[in-house]
Parts: sequence; C-alpha cells; structure tokens
Amino acid sequence: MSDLEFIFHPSSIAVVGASSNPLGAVNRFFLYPLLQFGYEGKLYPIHPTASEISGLKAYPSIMDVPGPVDHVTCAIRAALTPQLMRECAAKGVKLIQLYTAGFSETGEEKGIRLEKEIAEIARRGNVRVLGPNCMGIYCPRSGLAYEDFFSKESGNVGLLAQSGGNSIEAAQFGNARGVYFSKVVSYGNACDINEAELLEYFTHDPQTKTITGYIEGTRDGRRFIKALRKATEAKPVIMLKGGTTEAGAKAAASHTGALAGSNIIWESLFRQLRVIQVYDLEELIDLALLFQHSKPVRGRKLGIFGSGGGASVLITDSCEKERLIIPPFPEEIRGKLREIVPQELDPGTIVRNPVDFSTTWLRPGVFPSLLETMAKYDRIDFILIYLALFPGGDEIETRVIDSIIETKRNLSKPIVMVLRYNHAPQVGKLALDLQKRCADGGIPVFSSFSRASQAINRFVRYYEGSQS
Amino acid sequence: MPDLEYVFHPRSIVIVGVSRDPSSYATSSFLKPLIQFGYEGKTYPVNPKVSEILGIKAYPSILDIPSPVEYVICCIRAELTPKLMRECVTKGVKVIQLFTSGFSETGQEKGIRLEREIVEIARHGGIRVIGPNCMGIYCPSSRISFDASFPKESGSVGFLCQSGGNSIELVQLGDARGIRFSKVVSFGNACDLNEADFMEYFAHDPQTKVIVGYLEGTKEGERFINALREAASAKPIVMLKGGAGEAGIEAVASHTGALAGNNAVWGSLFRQLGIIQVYDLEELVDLLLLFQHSKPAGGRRVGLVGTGGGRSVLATDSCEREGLAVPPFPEAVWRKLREIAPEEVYPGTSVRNPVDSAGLDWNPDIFSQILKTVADYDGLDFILTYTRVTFGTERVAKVIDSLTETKKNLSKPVAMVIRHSEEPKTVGYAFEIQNRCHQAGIATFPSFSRAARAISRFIQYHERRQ
Repeated sequence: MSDLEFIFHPSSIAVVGASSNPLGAVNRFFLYPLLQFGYEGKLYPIHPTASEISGLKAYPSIMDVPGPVDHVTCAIRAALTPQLMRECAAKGVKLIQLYTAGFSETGEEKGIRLEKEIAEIARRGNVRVLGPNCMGIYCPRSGLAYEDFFSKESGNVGLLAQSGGNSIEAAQFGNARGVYFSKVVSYGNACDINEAELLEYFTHDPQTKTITGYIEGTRDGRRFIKALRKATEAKPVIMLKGGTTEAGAKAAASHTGALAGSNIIWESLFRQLRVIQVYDLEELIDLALLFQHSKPVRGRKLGIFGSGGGASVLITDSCEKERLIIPPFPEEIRGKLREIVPQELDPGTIVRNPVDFSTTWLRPGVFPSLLETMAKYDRIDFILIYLALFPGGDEIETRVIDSIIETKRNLSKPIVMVLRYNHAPQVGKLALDLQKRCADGGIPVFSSFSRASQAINRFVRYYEGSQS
Repeated sequence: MPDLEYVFHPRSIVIVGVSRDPSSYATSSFLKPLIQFGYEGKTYPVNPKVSEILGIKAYPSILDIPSPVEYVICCIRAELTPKLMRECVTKGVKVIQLFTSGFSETGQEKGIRLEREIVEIARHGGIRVIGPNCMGIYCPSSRISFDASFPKESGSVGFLCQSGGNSIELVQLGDARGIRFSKVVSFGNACDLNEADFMEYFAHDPQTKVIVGYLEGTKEGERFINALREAASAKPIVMLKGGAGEAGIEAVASHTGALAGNNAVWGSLFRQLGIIQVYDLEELVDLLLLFQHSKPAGGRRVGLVGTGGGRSVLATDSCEREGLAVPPFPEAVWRKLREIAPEEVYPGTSVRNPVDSAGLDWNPDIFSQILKTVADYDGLDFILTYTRVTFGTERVAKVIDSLTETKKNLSKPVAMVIRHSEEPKTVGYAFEIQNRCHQAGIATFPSFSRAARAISRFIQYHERRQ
C-alpha cells in the first residue's frame, strides 16, 4: 500500500500558469481559495514576467524559487508540460497536479503520447502526478481548496472524483445540506495516482468514515477491485459510476479517456462487494448525509409524523414503494399519542401511523413529547418527520424545529426529516438554514418523499447486508 | 353533462365560523385571500359573537344577511353542520364548501351518518356540496383563493385534488417554477360533487389546457372512467394516485374515507387511456412545465449541449436510462461544430453528442452558433442544455441571453438543467435564470434524472397519441 498522506500536507505550493489578470480562472481556482482558506505553507505563483500576483511574490520558473517546492499546480498548455516535469524532477517536487487538459482524453495520438511522456519523466524523477485534466485536492484541515465557496469545516466523508466539475458539485451541494468532507480528490485522467490508490488511502484514513466516489472507468481493474473489497470491509462505500450507458460511455471516453466498461459487470461487482451504487449526485449526497449522521439501524420499520393528510398518503406510498414498513401502532401507543394531541385540539388530527398532527404540530411541546414516546417504543427503528414550510411561518417553524433538534440530543433513535418547500428564494433561505441546523444536530433533511424513502431503504439495506 | 361553471363564479360568498383572530384557520385561509385577491362579489363573515371582522360587517347567521347568498364556506364544527345546511336551503344557497372535517374520513359510524345526513338535506334543497374536509376553490380569474400567497395570475392548468394540503403544495411548487392555474378544486371526501364531476368540467373548460389530478379513490367508478376517457381524448392528463400499498390504502381511508382500490388496476387504466401517471408532486410539476413550454417532440433523440465533462457523462447516462437516445453526430455535424469552436482555440471542448462547451469560456456568440447547429441537425428531436450556476456572473447571464434569443428561431423543443446548491448566494440568481428560460419557452429542471424522466414521459405521451 502506498502512503499518499503527504499529498494532503504540502509545506509549499507553486502555481505554474498563475495569471497576472486578477480575474483569471487559474487564480480563481488555485490561488484565491488557498489564500481564503488560510493555507499556512509557502505559496509561489509562477509567471514568466510578473513580479507579483495577488500580493505574492511571483517567480519566472520553479527553478527560481529559493526554497523547496513540495507541490506544483500546473495550468500551462499541454505542449509545455514535459519541460515543467523535468524541472519538477530537478527541483525535488513531490507532487504535481495537472489542471492542464489535452492529453489522453482527446483520444488523439498526440495527447496520448504526451501523457505517456510526462508520466515517464515523473516516474524516473520520483514525482507523483495527479491528473492531468483535474482540479486536485480539497482538504479543509490543511487549508487546501480549489473553490473559495467550499466549506472550511472538516467532516468525515471522503470523495474521490474523476471529474473536477462533479467534485465541485458534490462538495458544494453536500455542504449546503450539511455534509462535510475529510478530503476530496479530483484526479482526472489518472495517469499516475489513480482510483485504486486513492481508495486504498481512504480505506486507511482515520478521518474518513464514509467513502464516496465518482468514477468513469478504471486504469488498473484488478487493483481497483482489490481496493474496493478492502474498503467495503472497513467503511461504507457509495459509488456513482459515470458512463453506465452506451452513449454515456462514449461521453466518458472523451471526458477523461476512461474505458467505462460494461455496466452489468460494474453493477454486479458493486452488488457483490456491498458498494452502494447511486445514479446521480443528489442520491450520492442523500446517502452521504445518512451515513454521516446515523448509527447502524436494526430494521426498516418507520414511525411517520407530520402535518397534512394528503402528504401522509404520499409519504406512505413512497416508503412502501421502497419496501419500508409502516406498522400500525398498538392501542397503548395510540392512547399516548392522543394524550399529546387530544382530538378536541384539532379534529383533523389522525393518530395512526403515519400520524397527521394537522395544525397541532406548531404547538410547543408536541414534537418533544412525541419523540420521547417514540424513543421508548422499540418496534420502530426510524422516526420520519414530514413538514411543509409555509409563507410567513418563519418564527414559529424555527421554534418547533429547534425543539426537535434539542430533544434529539438525548435520543439515540435515528430521526430523518422531509422539509417541503417550493424552492423559491423567499422560502429557500429559511429552509436552507433549518436544514443545516438539523444536519448539525444529527437530523438529515430531505426535500422530497421519494428521495428520502429511497435513501433510507438503501441505508437500511446496507446494514441488513452486513448482518447476513 | 352537468354545467358546473357557476361554481367558479359566485356573486356572493359567506364564510361561516370565521373569527376576529387573524391567525385562525378560517380567517387566514378563506377571508384574507378574498380580501387580498380583491374578490369583487359580496363577502359576508358569519359569527354570532362579533359585528365586524377585518373591517367587514359580520352577521350572526346566514339568515340575517339582507341579500341573496350563492356560495357558503363552512368552518364550524361537524355537529353544527346539519342546521347550517337547512339554513342554506332556506336562504337559496347554490353551493356549500365544507372545510369542516369529522365526517366519513373518521371511519366512525357517527361521522359517516352525519355526512349522509347533510348530503340528504343538500339534495332535497337543491344545493351542491364541495367536501367536506377540503379547501374548496382557487380560481384566480374570479379572484377566489384559499391561500393568500397563491399567484393572482391565471394560467391553463386545471387541478382537481382530493387533498387540501397537496393542492396548496402543488400550487406553491408550481408557482415557484412559473406554472399558473385556470382552476384548482380541493374536494376532500367528495360527498356530492366528486372527481367525475370536476373531470367532466375540466374536459370542457376552455381555460384549461392540461388537467392534473391528485386522487385517493373514486366514488363513482364507471362514471369517472367515462369522464377520464372523454377528458383524455381532449387534453393531456397527468395523475398522481395516492394510496398504493397496504399502509398507503390505510392512510387514504383515514384521510378522506376513500377506498383507494387496486393500484395495478389504476395503473393499467391510466396507461390504456393515455394518462400520464406520476409518483410525486415534483414529477407532476416537471411534466406540467413541459406541457406548458414544449411543442410535441417527433421522437426520442436528444442533443445535449452543456458545460462540464462529468456533467455531460451524467446527463447522457440519465437520458439513456430513461429510454432517450443520445446519438453521436455524423461527421458533417461535428466538423461544422469544430469549425465554430476549433480545438486549438478551445481545448477541453468536446463536440460529439454531448457537446461539452465548458472550454468556450462562456462565449455567447459561439454558444449560440453551436446550439443552432445542433438544433438544425435533423437527426434530433429534442435539445437539452445544462450548466451549473454559482453566483451572479455576467458571463453566464450573457450565455442565457444568447440561449433564449437563439431559441426563438428553433423549431425543436429546448429544455435546460440548472445545477445549483440552493445556497442564498446562488439561489436568487438561479431563480432569475430559471424565470428567464420559462419566459422564453424553455422548461427548466434541477437535476438530470428529473429532466430525463419528464422528457421521456412527455415524448411517450405524444408517441401514444400518434
């Protein structure tokens, strides 16, 4: 097993191809985020003529940098990379990450040859290569990032992504829902460091509890399968495989030059190894969110609580479609629920499973009492809450949801919430805020019944698999 | 066929059981919306204890109202409804909508009997009943609404909904994505006017171009099937059927007292009649957007034009998984695209299908030429574009301008996937882009999976009609 730990802790970074134009894309990805994240190592912009970029002293080449350089970010044209690789070898650079595209992913002889050439120089010079055609590393603990809007908060989800764009989406969408990452690596064409090696790393990384991945193909099938097997023995692994269809595979080939392989083979491999295969980034985040917060569950029996009769029908249908069980409550439990919400409070309340609180969910104490009752009732494995935000309800809704978060502190039973709103900016701000607070309080939040039930089913199935 | 037109145009509305507390349900759901929408008929609050509510003169009972009353909204307790029904008969009321619950949906003898009793009184007295256990009518052209936040603008979607809560959610979800309604009816337990009546009405309503329904069960199976058949031959119908599994059927029974029926039977009925069955409210809105904005597509070959290599892969996979084809361009087409965006100038671009235009550095002219070239290729039926929105960059705005401008001269339907994280920083901007696309007749979706699924079902609808 190779130890890649060093790639996350460079004590100096040179950005080759930094722009003298402050709005240049290269600076935006590879200089500003480091400055914003407070990267503590040395930072050297490399530019043929500029003497200073964004307040940092610039050098014409890495050979001119006075101290050692651990990590090089390369954003110059492909044709110039062999020369840079030789300089890296001479300078004793440990890792070069190539943002530069125009290699094997073009499918053309020239690019393929160039990629081979730089890989060869790197190997002989003892330089490790990330990419080409990738965004590199986001590791909040080390102050490394390639988007300044990424969260500075560290988490326990690791992501290896063959696509830079998808890694940005996954991180950004995940952050918005309260998913935080230990490390994200965008590795592109994988001419040296590849999916297998990164998977091996994440398997042993103590900061990573859940491994997620977006891969388009593999360069070293045998090693990758072995790495997957080891990884799934240690941690939950969630995989989004790009190029699972014929046209998708072609798109993958022209994106990262990857051979996507037959989907049937991938699917059966994933199934065998207990890898959770997902089909879009939303689903990937949905599952990462559940694994990030929830402990292993014992079963698939849900108690469902919320407001709205029609909504209770739809959430029930969604759950049953995903083979989750919604057992009727015994008389004793129904009696206790009736004490919490007497029929006189609102004749629209229904105390079956699901419980429709109608308008009484807004009353202080309803949810706390309910959650405490349900925590003690051992024939429910999961508590699922569904609420719809309404215009102008900010204050009261916030109060109720805070009381749920507060009660959850002392409960071990998993709680999942579906927060319904129309995604317009006016309501969206509150929804996002509530969603994050819930997530930080250990309550994953979903925006639709279908997605919540699908994710819960797959989460439960993962643990069912581990029992057999 | 009964003519229910009058139900949507009452000249006077009485709200019984409304209180001075503006946050009370009856006041906020029924009286306030009428005031805010500027309902032009007469509004009479009825409450025996007060003389005025929100500046409007209140009466102790409907019999004390000096002029005729056409439409009554009932928010009093269930036990008091028979007496009110009799008063309505005396007063010559045409329609009563009961918000009140506690009838057959309780599953208890008492409630079932009470529901029968009021139906009986209504029938004898010649009054039509909506509900009980429902929100009633939202008809923006008549300025009637059961939620003050609903849009005042009319549209072409008619919605019959057995659940009040789902009707509110759908209008709000639709509102945020530019869907406007001709009429929405929440009809609850359907003790008199039921799904069949409203389906017949919508089939003939000239303001309604697309019919959507949320249904938990039917009271009059044969008549409803006939109504569905007739409506489906006239207009697209999208149906969300609640109560599929065992627990779902239970939930339906305690919600509206309806018999959900066998899910497989409903499914095959919808299929036979060319009705699109959806499985959640999001999917329902997704399809409405396509019916609102897209012309019928001739086939299922999709051209993908967007930004991002990984996104292009996922977009392709989503389309193919839903049975859409993403055919590679013939040489003549990709050569033409390469002339527009030469590889030397724009490395990282890919011009097969999908076209990954991330490397174009947001050049609107080139984007527009590419889009036009792809749309002109006659081997495609539908164009799907996609991009991620971070925050208000001018460059993205220019590309959207060129997209909406180019779209004007294209005969093929165009849809767009807008990827964003919903963070406050980006959501407003993404929302603005979405609205501009909708104004230009481009349906937008938040994810590839949802876009691909909706487009595939939209195309399937037209295939079945051929």
